[in-house]
Order: sequence, then C-alpha cells, then structure tokens
Amino acid sequence: MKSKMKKTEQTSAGLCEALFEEFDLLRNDLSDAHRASSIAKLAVQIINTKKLEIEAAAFHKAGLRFIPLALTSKGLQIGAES
Amino acid sequence: MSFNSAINFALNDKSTLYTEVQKNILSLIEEIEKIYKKHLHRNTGEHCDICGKGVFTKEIMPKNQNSNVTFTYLPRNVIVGYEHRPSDSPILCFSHSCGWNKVFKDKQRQHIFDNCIDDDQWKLSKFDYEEEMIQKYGLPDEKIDLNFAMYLAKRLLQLSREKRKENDGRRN
Repeated sequence: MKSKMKKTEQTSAGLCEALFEEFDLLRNDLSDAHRASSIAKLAVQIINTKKLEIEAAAFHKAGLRFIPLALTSKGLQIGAES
Repeated sequence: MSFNSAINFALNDKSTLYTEVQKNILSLIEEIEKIYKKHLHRNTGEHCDICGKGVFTKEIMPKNQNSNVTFTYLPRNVIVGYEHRPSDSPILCFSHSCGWNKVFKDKQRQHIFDNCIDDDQWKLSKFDYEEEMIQKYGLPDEKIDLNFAMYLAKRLLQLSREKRKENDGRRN
C-alpha cells in the first residue's frame, strides 16, 4: 500500500511547520538524530537561499542589473541568454 | 471617526473645553491596553512547540540536583515579532521565548542599522526614537518568518546532537 506523501507548503510558515513536525517526531522517538540533523541543515540552506533572493530583489529594485550566467557543457558563460 | 483620531483628540493639550471627555477616552484606552496586554501574556495551558514542556511540567533545577526548587513552564500566547498577527504565533515556553526574543532583537537592530538613511542615523542611539525607528525600518513579516525558521533549524540541530549523544551513551 502506498503511503500518502505530505507536501510542504512552500512558504516560510510552511517551512516552520515542517520543522515543528520534525521536533514532534524526534521527541516521540519516531525519527532519528541523523534525519533531524539533515532536515535542519537543509532548512538552513533553504533559508539562506531565500535571504539571498530577497537581497537580490532589493538590489534589483534599487536599479542594479545582474549579468546573466549560464552553466553549459563548455563551462560558465557570462552574459549568456538562457 | 478612527481610533487614532480619538487618541489624538484625547492627547491634545489645546482643547481645554473637553477635559472630561478627554479623561474618559484616556481611561478607556488604558482599559483596552490592560485587556490587550493580559491577552498577550495569557497562559495558554498548551505545550511548547519546540520542547513540548507544558504548563504543568515541573522540573528540578539541573545545576543543583539537591535543591527542591522547581520550575513551572508557562507557554505564552504570542511571541515577540508576532504581536500584530497573533494567530500565526507559535507557542513557546519561557526559555525558548527568551531565546527567540534575543535573536529577534539582534536581527531587528541589525536591520534598522542597515536600512537607516543618513538623516535618521542620529536617532539610532536615542531610546526615545526606538519606536519610530522600528515603525520606519523594522523587520518585514517575511524576514521575521525566515529568522524564526532559522532559529527553529538551529534548535533542531542542537536537539539532534543531544539525541545522538544520548544514543552513543546508551551504546557504550
């Protein structure tokens, strides 16, 4: 029987909810320390990416234009149109 | 008439004609403030979302095992940064809400410092202008949520380390 996979709501509040759920599981011994640790590290990465996005949006709003970058088979192309 | 204009009317020194009305309005405002503060610091009777400690949990002080002094954890209704949207606020025990309080204040100060324009910089060190600066340059809701998520992730990492140590101890 396939178990239904719960999808995380893709917002900061959804991320908090997922972390709270992990707290519950860990407290009740339904999860292990390794899983909790990897979830926490993943959450930190997501938050840092989001923070960078917010900063980039603020710079963009202030008039700064970014040079597009593309990672191709030949390497990194600066100023490439994707 | 809006609530703000009623407050402005009550605080206006020039209108000496309406002192009685002003007093009444001020007493009503005080009453509203009392009810609101009581609501914010109301004991929920629920458990902390992070550690699961609740209102009836009593713990012996860990540093002094012989002591009979006990803690009672009282999860609060609304935590710092969520006062304007209490329905979104998580429930935290005293120690975790203190931890979050410190993180929030540091982040708030940093955000104000980073975004403050040159003309307002002299207000940074003045306590009287604290509210004004928070209103102008305070953390937006999205950043509050992100900082809280970061706080949670760090607590989860800490808890996982503790659990790992516990498990290693059991094996040895």
